[in-house]
Amino acid sequence: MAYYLLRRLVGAVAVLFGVVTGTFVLSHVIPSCPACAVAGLRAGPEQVKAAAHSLGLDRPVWDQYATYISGLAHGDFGISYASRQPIGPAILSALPATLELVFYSFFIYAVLGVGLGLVWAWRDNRPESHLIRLLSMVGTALPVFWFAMVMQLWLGLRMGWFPITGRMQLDPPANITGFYTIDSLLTGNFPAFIDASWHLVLPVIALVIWQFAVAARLTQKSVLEEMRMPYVRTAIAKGAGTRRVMLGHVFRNAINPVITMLGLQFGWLLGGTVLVEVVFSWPGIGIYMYNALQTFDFPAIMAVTVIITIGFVVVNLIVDFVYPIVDPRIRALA
Amino acid sequence: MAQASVCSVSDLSVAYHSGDGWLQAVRTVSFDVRRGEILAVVGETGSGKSTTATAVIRMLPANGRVISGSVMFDGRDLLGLSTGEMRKLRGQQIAYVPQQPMSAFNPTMTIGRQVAEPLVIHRGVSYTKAAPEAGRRLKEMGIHEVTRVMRSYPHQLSGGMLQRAMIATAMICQPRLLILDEPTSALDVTIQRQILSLIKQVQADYQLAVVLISHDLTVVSQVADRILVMYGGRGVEVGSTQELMTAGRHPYTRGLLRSTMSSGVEHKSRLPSLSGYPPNPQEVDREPGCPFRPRCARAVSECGEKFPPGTFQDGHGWACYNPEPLS
Amino acid sequence: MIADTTQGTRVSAERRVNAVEVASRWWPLGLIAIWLVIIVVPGLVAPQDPLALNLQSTLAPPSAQHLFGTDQAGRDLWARCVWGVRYSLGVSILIVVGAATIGTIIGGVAGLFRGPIDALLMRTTDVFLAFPYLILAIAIASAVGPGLTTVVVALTAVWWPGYARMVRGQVLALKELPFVEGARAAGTSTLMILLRHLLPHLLPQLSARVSMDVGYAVLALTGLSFLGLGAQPPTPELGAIIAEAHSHLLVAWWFTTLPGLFVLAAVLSSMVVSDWLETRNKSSFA
Repeated sequence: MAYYLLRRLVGAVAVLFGVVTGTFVLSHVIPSCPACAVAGLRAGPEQVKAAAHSLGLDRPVWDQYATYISGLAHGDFGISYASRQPIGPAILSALPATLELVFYSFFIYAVLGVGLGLVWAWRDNRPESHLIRLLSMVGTALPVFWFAMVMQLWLGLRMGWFPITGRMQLDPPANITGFYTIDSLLTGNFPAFIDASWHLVLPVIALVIWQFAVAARLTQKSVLEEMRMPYVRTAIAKGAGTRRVMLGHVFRNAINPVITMLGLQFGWLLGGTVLVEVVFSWPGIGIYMYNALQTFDFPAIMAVTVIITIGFVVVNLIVDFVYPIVDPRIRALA
Repeated sequence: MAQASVCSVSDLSVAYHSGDGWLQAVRTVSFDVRRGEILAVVGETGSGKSTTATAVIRMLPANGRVISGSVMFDGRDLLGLSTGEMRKLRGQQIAYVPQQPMSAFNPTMTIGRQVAEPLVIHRGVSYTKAAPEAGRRLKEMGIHEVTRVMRSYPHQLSGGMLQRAMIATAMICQPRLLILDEPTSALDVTIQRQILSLIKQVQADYQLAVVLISHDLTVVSQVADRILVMYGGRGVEVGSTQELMTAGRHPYTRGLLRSTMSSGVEHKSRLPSLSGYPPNPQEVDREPGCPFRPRCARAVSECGEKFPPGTFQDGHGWACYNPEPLS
Repeated sequence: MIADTTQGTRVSAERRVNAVEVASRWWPLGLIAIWLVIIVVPGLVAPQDPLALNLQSTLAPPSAQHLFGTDQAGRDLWARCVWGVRYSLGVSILIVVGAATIGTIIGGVAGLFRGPIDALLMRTTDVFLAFPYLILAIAIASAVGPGLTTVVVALTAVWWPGYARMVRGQVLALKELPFVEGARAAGTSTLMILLRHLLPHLLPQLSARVSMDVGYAVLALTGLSFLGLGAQPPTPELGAIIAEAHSHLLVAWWFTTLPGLFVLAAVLSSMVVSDWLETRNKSSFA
């Protein structure tokens, strides 16, 4: 068991290393002239050379690589080409906004997706399951940024039901966790809680609609497959009713592949966050990356890539750790 | 000694819906199971024996239907009961032990929970309250390290132990009728004997009515009191084990007997076997008459026209126009 | 699921083949036909010029003359959408087919050769798959610079690992089968084994997945364009159009709402076709 966990950990570290190297290659080796971007459009060769020197871009590649790696190990993400400020703190201050958004979205779509998937399988061939199937199809086919905008326009601007940008209108609550919803509850600031929650609704819906179908479809498929297993017959022979069979037997077995999928989906969610943050001007790392894109700020872009990927790898590592707890067969193999 | 009949099946016919039509798997099968006796239902794959058993407890797959007949248990026709009433009987009054114990258990649940489950379902008690009883049953079925086994998962136990646990599960509510589907097919020969004697013992201790389904006549002849032989969805012969083994009248029964090692076969002579292959349901559906006719050495013209009516003599019955003579 | 048996049903049923049944089985082909028309002869569906500026009627609402209204430069939105979806579908198909080809070759080689090659290829795949796909695409696109080639490269790079994994798995299963051993014994080269013997078995699952992925590629492509990394103005691209529309959210609802419907239609079509291919795959194995 410990060996299994160790192997997973080593694998994760190896992957992270690959990722970091990949981003270095992307930001230092591929761009034809990163210094040109920094020096500006009208810079002459002298200014470009000066810019290159000041950013250390004229040093040998492996030297730059070593600096990059050691910098990351210390949490130093380098200097932004655009703002000339350290990237690390900037990302850190933007991170809570994204985390709050992603956290609620993940939780809601996991519960919604798995729940709907279960109903879909349970009520196979009935109208409810056809409806869910239709919803899933449409949900997956929606371009998330477009749907976010459509909601922004029709539910926000036209109907005035929801705010259309930002995290809050009132002053944010005292900073404890960085989550405005939690912080406002912890400080007893009820109006702030309402305000923050209301601002979360549309962005979370956009992300959930886009993702819940994946969880639903996998749960449905997994449940249907489990329902064909021999132990279902055994349970019925004992006199178990449909509810006991589904919830007591089938579901606990069907949930395993779903847990792995939820981990993977988290990665897609992170990608979708960039799009949603842009639409709602949500001050997270997604919009930070977007702004960095507009100015070809490679270090910033790569920093966000590394951070998001680290998050993704960590989540999947957690899934790998949780999996044996849930499924005794894996526990035995591990 | 004629005991009360616990379960009485009359003219049971079952069909499966497949593709664009219906295939009949069981045709007008009738039999009785009495208290304190083991009835074996013997036949090759496709004979309809498992379907018959599944139909009795109303656990046919979604594409199966009982077309006609009745299954009397406790004075009620099981086929006419509501779903809820039937559910109350399963696991409590009528127990079913499925094939292949290794796959019949839920792989992510401990054995203890699964053995105690019928109690939890029918008596409404919590697992903690039911656990001691489950432990007692496991012990009764010959399992020694009861605590360890109850905490184990199916993949950690051997086939023989799993089968014992399965029988314990079936017996935990003390049913009146026990149906076992191929209880020894997936096990080693030595374990087979153990399980068979376990079944015999349980039956004797509780005076159960037992239906034992098998394709193996030798296995069955060791424990069964009466045997029903099925072929191509029909019951072709029924009688006490003694009668069938020594004086079987249907050519198929005789054929089965001749092809087993236990009947007086001369050393080094060729083992006689039934020629041909067992029929598939589509063939049987198409051809009228007796399904055994293509392989039967004693076939006469009537055999191809209509299935023979049953002849009965003191509890020994057979369906044949040209039965084997008594020898 | 197990059902309780109930009393009697008639044992016979008849089959009749009629036009309705044929239509309900083959209608996705009609869908493909419609899209082919749009891709090959867009002028048929949208007579207006998607690039024609008309500063007299900027941001005009839908009318008889302009089915979808006009954008901020007075261009006919319907035409821009039609040309845009043509671009999206065309490029997506290119990307997915390319990724599938690369993935099949890599996965096939890894599965057939095993050993260190397999390990190396699979580790590389793992690294790629460790990235959330949109982020990886953004990272690559930002490094290379915006434009059509960029998004093709970026998305192909994101997509091939999935195919490599899938094909490798299937090849591993298939190569144990007797017919592969027979081919080996007859001296067939590995490449021929992959192409001649294994490929026919891989195709059904591959084609179902490819048609599904075309839809996802359209979503990814429009997403990248939305962020400014795809086709540059004035080329009509649905994601870019929607991005432009954001600044005019309040005044021009048609600008924001209608182009997305084209994307939705394209993606839904790809899903329908994929489902249909999968059902046909399953029935051919019945």
